[in-house]
Amino acid sequence: MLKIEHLTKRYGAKTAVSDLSLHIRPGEIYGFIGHNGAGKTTTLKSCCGILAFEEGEITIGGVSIRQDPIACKKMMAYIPDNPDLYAFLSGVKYLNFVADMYGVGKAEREERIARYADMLELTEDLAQPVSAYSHGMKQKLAVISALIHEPKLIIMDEPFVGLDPKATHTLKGLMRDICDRGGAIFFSTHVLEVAEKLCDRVAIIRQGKLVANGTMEEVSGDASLEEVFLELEGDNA
Amino acid sequence: MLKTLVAVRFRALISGLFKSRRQSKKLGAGKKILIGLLGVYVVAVYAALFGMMFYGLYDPFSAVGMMPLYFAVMAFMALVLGFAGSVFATQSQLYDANDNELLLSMPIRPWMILLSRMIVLYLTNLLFTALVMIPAGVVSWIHQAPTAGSLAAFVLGMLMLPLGSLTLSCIFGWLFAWIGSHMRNRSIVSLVVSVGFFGLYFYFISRSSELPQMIVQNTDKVAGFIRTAGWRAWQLGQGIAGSAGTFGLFALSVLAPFALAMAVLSRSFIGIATRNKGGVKIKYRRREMRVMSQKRALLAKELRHFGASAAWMLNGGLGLLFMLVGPIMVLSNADFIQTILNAFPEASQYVMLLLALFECLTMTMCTISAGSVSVEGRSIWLMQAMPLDAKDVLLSKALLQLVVTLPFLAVATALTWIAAPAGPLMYVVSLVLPLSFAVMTSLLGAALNVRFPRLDWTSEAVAVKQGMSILAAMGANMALLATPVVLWAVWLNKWISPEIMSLVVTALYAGISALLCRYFGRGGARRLAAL
Repeated sequence: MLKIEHLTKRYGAKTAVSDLSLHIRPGEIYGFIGHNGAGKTTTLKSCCGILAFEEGEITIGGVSIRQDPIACKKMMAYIPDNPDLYAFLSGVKYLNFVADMYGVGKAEREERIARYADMLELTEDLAQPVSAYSHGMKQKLAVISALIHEPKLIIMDEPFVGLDPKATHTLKGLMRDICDRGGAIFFSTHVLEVAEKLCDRVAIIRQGKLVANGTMEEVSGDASLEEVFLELEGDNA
Repeated sequence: MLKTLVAVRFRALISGLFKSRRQSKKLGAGKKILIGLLGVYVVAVYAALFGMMFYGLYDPFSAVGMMPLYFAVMAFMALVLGFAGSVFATQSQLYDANDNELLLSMPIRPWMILLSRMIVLYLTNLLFTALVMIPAGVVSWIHQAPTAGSLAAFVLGMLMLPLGSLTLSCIFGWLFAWIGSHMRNRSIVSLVVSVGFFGLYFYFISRSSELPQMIVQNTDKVAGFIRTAGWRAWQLGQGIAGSAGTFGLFALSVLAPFALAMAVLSRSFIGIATRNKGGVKIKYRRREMRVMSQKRALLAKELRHFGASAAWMLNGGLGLLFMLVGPIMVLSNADFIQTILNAFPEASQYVMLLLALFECLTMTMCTISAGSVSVEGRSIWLMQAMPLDAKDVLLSKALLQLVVTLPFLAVATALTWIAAPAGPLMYVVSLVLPLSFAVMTSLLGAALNVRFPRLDWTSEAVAVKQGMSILAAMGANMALLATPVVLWAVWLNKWISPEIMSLVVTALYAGISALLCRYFGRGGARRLAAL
C-alpha cells in the first residue's frame, strides 16, 4: 500500500531523513518509533505530499506521490500531531467541507459523520465552532474527518495525544477494524506499550536513519519494545 | 518579575514588526530603517495635523481670554484619541491574550500580570495623548512662555490623562469581550463598532481644516459639551490655565477610577482570563447536508472565514465602502456639478470616466486576497494534504475578493450611470474598466500573498494588516492604475481618445489577469506546496 524507497530529506545542510526504506502492506498497522527530532514527522509529511524530498521514491497503491499527488491523496488521510483545523467553522461544517474535498456522496457522508461522531462521543458538540474545542475534541474531529472518505491508507502523527481513555480505546478498535477490511495504517507514537499491543510491524528511526524494523517478534524477540528501543538508543549514542 | 513581564510584552510587539514569515528570519537593517522612517512620518503627519488645528484655535481663544477652553479642547481630543486608539488593544491584550493561562500557571501574582499589560497599554495611550497635547502645548508656548506651574500641570496632566482613557478602554474592552462570549456573530459586533470608529476618524480627518473655525464659532456649545461629556478634560484645561484646585480634582477624578478599575480587575483577572471563549453553546441537530463541488466548497470556505473575521473584513475591505462615496457625492451635489458642466460642456463626457477611475482607486485599497494565504496560518497543512489542485486553492482566494467586491461595484456603477450620463461607449467603458481592474487586483493579491505569506501570527489581525504582501498589493494596484492615467494625460491624449485608451487598458488588465491565472498553475502552485 505504502512503499518508501531510499527516502532522503534535507533542510538546508541538515539531513532529517537519510536513505529510509519501508513497505507498509494492506491490512497492517505499522508503528513508527523514534526520539524527538528523529525524523518521524518529516517522513510522515513526505508520505502525504506535504513535504517535497530530495531523493528516493514514495508510492501509494503503486502511484508515485511525486508524479500524481492528487491521486495519492485521494487514497489516503493524514492526521497531524497538532490538529490545527479551521477554527472559524463548526465541527459539522468542517466535516462537510472535508467530504466535499474528497467528493463523498450525501448519504455516505451523513451516515459516516453520524456513526463516527457517535462512536467518539462528539455528536453533541458538532454545532460548536472548532475554536471552542479542546485539544482532545479537535483530535476526535480530525479522526472523523480522516475516516469520512474511507481511505485505504491512514497516516497518523501521535494520534492518541489528547484523547481520553475511552476515545483512545475506540480509536484503537477503529484502527484494527480498518486494517481488517484491507486498509493500512502508518503511525508514529512515543507510547511503546500501545505500539507493542497494536502494531503488526514497527520501525525504529534514529537521527533520520532506520535502525530496526519488522514484526514485533523480529524487532524485540522476548524483550519488551521499551528495552529494545532504549538499547538501540544507547548503542547509537 | 514585573520588568521581565513588560520586556516580554515589548519583545512580542517588536518581533511582530521586525520578523518575517514562519522562519522567524529577522529583517535586514535597511527594512528596519524603512519601518522606523515610516513611523516617524506617521507621527510627524499627526503632529502637523494637530499643530495646524491648534494654531488656528490659539488666536481666537487667546483674544477673548478663553485659554482654559483651549486646553480643555486639547485634553478632550487626547482623551478620545487615546480611547479610540487603545480600546481594541485593551480587549486583545487584557481579555483575549492567548498567554493568559500560561502565565497564570506560573508562580506569578495575577495583579502583576495585569500590571505588566497595563504598563504597555498605558505607554500606547501616552503616545496617542502626546500626539495631541505636545503640538497644542508647543503652539501656546510659541505665543506665550508658560509659567512653571502651568508647565508642571501640563506635564503631569499628560502623564495622568492616559489613565483616564485607559480606564474607559478597560470598561469597553470588558464589554466587547462579554458581548463576544454571549453572541454567535461576535465578528459582526466588532465590525460594526470598528466601522463606527473609522467613520468618526475619517469624519475628523476630512473636517480637520474646518474644525478650528467650527469650534471658534460655537465656543459656548463646545464648552458646555466638554464640561458635561468630558469633564476630566475640562478640569485639566482649567488646571493648565492656572487653577491648582481644579487640577487636583482632575488628578483625583483620573487616579481614583483607575485605582478602582485595577482593584476590580486584579480580583477578577483569573475569571476573566479563563472564561469560556466559545460563546453561546449551540445544540447540534442533524440536518440534511449540502453537497458542493470542490471549487464551490473552497469558495464557500473562504467566504465563511472572511465573514468570521472582523479584522479581515475591516482591513481588507474598507476601501470598498469608499467606492460608493464618489457617485453619491456627485448625486448629492448635482447642482454644483451641473454648474461646472455648463461652464465646460466638453468635460461632461469625462465625469463618468472619472467616477469609474475613482471606483478603481478605491479598489487599490482592497487587500482581501493579499491576506488570504496568510490567514491559513497553522492550518495551511489542510490545503496541502487534501487532494486539491493548488491552482483551485489560489483561485478561490482571488474569487473571494471578487465576490465581495462585485456587489459594491454593481451599486457604484449603477449610481455612476445615474449621476453622470454619457455616450454609449462610455457606458461600456465604465462597466468593463473597473470590472477588469477588480479581477486583476483580486488575482494579484493572492499571487503576492503566496509569494510573501505570513503564517506565524498569533492574532489574525497581523496576517491581514501587516506583512509585505499587503503593502506590495496596494503599491502594485496603485502603480497599475496610475501609470496608464499619467501616460495618457501627459503624452497619449494627442492620439487616443479616453474611451479607446480605457479599452486598451482594460485589455491590458485582462492580459495581466490571464498571466496571473497561468502563474497560479505553475510557480504559485509550487510556492503553496512549499509553505
